[in-house]
Amino acid sequence: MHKLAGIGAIGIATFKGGLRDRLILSLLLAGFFFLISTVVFSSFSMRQPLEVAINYSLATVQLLTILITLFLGLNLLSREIETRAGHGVLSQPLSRTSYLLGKFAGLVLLCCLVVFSLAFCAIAGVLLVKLGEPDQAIYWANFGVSVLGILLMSLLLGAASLLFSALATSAVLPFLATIAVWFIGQSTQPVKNYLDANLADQTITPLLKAIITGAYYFFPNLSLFDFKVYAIYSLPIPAGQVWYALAYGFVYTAVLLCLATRLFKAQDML
Amino acid sequence: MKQLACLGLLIGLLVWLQLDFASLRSKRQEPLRFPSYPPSLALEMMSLGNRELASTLIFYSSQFYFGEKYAWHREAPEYQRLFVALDKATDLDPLNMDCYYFAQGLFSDIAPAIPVLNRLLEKGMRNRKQDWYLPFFISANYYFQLKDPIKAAEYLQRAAELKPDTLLFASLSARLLYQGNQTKAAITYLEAFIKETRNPAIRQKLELRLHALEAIHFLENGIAAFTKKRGRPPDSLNEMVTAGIIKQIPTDPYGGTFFLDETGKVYTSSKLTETWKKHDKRDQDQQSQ
Repeated sequence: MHKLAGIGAIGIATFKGGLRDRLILSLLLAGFFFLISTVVFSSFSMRQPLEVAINYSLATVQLLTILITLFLGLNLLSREIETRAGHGVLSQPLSRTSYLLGKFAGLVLLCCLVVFSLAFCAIAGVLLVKLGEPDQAIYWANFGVSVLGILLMSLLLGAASLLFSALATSAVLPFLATIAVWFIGQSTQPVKNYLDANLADQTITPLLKAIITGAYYFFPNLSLFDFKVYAIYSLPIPAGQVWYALAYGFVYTAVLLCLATRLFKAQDML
Repeated sequence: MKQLACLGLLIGLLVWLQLDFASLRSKRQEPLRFPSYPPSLALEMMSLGNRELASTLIFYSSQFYFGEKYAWHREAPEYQRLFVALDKATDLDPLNMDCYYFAQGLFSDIAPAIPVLNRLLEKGMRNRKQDWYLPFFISANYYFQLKDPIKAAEYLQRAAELKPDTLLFASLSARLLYQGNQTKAAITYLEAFIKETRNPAIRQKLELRLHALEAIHFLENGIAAFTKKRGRPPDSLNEMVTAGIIKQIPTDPYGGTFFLDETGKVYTSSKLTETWKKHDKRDQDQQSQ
């Protein structure tokens, strides 16, 4: 109970710290940009302006959320270690595990705020486009699932950022390493599909094939969280895929957090 | 005060540069080129999980290039490169209807492009199973360009099953099955296509073809009237003018001249088509991949 209270206090302090970084102002700006740009962007479509509006808005929510998560992750632990701001907190009767989990809880709250604020702006932009296409239906449930997928992906990357922060003493390395995980996590599935389709027998050596297969199973497969196509084209989401993504996201994030706490405990901060 | 004056000066300079750049761009002499995109796998990796958006962006760049090149500069677009780009865009998002629609608008009057265009549309049919436009387009391509009415009727049947529009499909099916008035069938098809087209550059291209077909249809009606009156077909189009059947021979909007061939059919020296040539070796390599 004492531990939970400690985690909660650190989480709320992290959340408030995030808000102080003018997060709300940047979100309002992003929301205004959404409203204007979704209408302009989709107007160039010949046959499917509503689909393009959903496509554009979900892609922008994803990109902005991940960028904000990366920058939040940058400040979360590494900056505090770098500036020794966290030493005061750690000198209190609070375990390092609680401190790190509290930081992650704060990140979860901030990510939820970011994703849902941006999703709200995206919905407003899509609804504006829909005024010109009144006969076309939108599967809002699929839209919601896509937003949930984006949230899961950003939390996983946030956990990865914590893990790298627990490993390194500077803020730059965790930031770059998390970007690398994002890039690799998005790329492994298409590369694996390419290999499985036997399109590259001539150019891919067995060693490279083994490395790619290893990376596919080692790094998080972020394409599992991508439900955008079902929202864009109002397609039924295959049964079980959402549950699978949820389970995968939770388990992978939990593993990253466990590793991060182990490393953070072992780190000499003096 | 000094800072404000400096800022004002810089903003003025920036506005002048912007305006000058805009006029410079409109006057520029070098031909507008369409970019070559990397392979589909690289594009998918670079999209960072946003393959649908990447597909839309490639479609937009193709559309803007075509609009600027064809409608503004009045130059022949690099059709081969445009096709490769649209093919890659549909690799990224096989459901992107904009690409299929645009491709049909661009290539359906270029006979050598029809086999690859139909392959692209078949890709669309495999992924957009409920879309009647795709079999409708393939049907038109088989009928008007590949001269295969049986295949055309087969695809038209599939289109009719997806959207039973009695007027359009009944009128086209009748012409396809009875090998009747091909020009009128082409006009019906183009009118249906133009009605649904929002892109001004594509609309301009289709309307050009429609005007040419209407001119041919006008001449064919004249030949029928001449034959009925004289009991024989005219030897030349000028004979119809001197006989008072038509007032004048219409002009070919493609810049050619209409004439009668030895079988008595109306043809034009422009062949109502644009070129589908490979622009450089890179295009050939991409096409062969």
